[in-house]
Amino acid sequence: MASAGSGDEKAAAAAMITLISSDNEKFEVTEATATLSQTIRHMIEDGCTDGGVPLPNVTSKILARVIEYCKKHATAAAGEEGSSSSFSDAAFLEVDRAFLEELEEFDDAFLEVDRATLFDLILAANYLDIKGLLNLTCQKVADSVKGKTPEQIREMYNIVNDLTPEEEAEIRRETQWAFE
Amino acid sequence: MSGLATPPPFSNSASTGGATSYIAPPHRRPRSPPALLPELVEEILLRVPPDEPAHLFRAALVCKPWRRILSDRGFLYRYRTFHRKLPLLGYLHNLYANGKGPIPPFVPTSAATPLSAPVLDCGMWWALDCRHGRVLIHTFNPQYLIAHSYYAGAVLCATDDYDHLDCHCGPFLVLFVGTNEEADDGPLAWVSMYSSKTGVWSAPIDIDVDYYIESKPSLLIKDALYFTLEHGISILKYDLGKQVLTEIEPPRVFGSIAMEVEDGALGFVCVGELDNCIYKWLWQPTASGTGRWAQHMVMELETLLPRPAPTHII
Repeated sequence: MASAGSGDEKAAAAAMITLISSDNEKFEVTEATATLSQTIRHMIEDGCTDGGVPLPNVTSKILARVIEYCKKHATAAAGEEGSSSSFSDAAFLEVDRAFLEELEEFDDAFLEVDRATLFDLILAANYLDIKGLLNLTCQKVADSVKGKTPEQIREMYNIVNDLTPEEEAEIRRETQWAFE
Repeated sequence: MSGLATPPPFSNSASTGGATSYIAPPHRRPRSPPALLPELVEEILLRVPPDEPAHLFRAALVCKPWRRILSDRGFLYRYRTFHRKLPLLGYLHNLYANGKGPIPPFVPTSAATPLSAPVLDCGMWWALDCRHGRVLIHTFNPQYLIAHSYYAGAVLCATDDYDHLDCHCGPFLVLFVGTNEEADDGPLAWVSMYSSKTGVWSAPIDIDVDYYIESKPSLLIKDALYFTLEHGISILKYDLGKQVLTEIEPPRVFGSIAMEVEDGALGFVCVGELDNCIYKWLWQPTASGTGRWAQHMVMELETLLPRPAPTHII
């Protein structure tokens, strides 16, 4: 926890980017935070961020969560980079482990959202091309599918069953072992 | 990303009925999840853990788009690559069934499995080897084909597939290796290789060996297969590239097991008789073209680990 602060201070001195949500709310973030998104990174590289980056597919509520994720992960990454040059190998491993544990705790807490928000985050992570966030959120849904019956999965995610009763019966017959 | 306004989440093709029921879902108070594009559904399904293969089969019954994704060969390859291994369904245990002779039971390692005992309805049989998604089975009818000889077999894919995650439908090789005691100066080991590409068995190659071969699964390291001779006293190596048989004497220790160590080298491990330590030997090629064993590592074990069990399992 203590080392995360130094990363923050370092990042604060860096250039700031303005992100604009679909409901026109503005968010000031550091370049280090923003560039966790490959989409924004490319815009910065192309010099297209003057006057802010409009994100018409992301609401302010979701963008705030996405920024929260990016801030945490950008800070951890910066802290990790800084620590590698100033610690011995053993100390570096210790710091590394602490970072990972802290990040895991953060990620677990971050995923404590309702299903609709989780899906919004998946859409935002995909649109902004934030690989870590996409992996995290998709894994959460995948884990929830595990061990569920098809009916339970449809119910959980409000999926319309477009298989005919005949098709369904055939699939069940073909793979009966999976439903026993 | 127009998904936010699209009616059914995981939007499938059931457009009219789905849209109507979505607008006012009577039984759900929380907001319904927004629609996801098929590629995002794929990202999710890709991450369903592989420990229980039934999970994916159940997911395939959710709706047509899910079924389409899960039946796609490209998706299945991505799934294997993502998890870096094929799902393990279980293992065949080479056992003699009560009064029925050799009929290995299938022991599932997952709760639901498409295989059940008896796996094969072909009388008596023995599992010889298992690799790259295939099992090599020897049926005991007719028995006279291998009378009075000891044998082992190996199966492997015939492609240069690096990770072997999608090679189980392609061409394959089968090796049949045996020893017999007809030679005056000890057993003779021979090998013949079958290629599914040509459908032909190669002419046998043989060498004199000191011990008979054991019917145990082979070990594949790089371009060579290794077979156990007489309780591991010696090892038979078949070089697949050069098509040459050689005998290798392992380190003089009891109960050692050949295995791949250090990125493609032949090694042996055993548990010390008295000190409960794991010893590891590494085969180091020498300049003269042969090689020698070097003790490579000793690892102290906790007393919790049992001694190595007989290896009848493949």
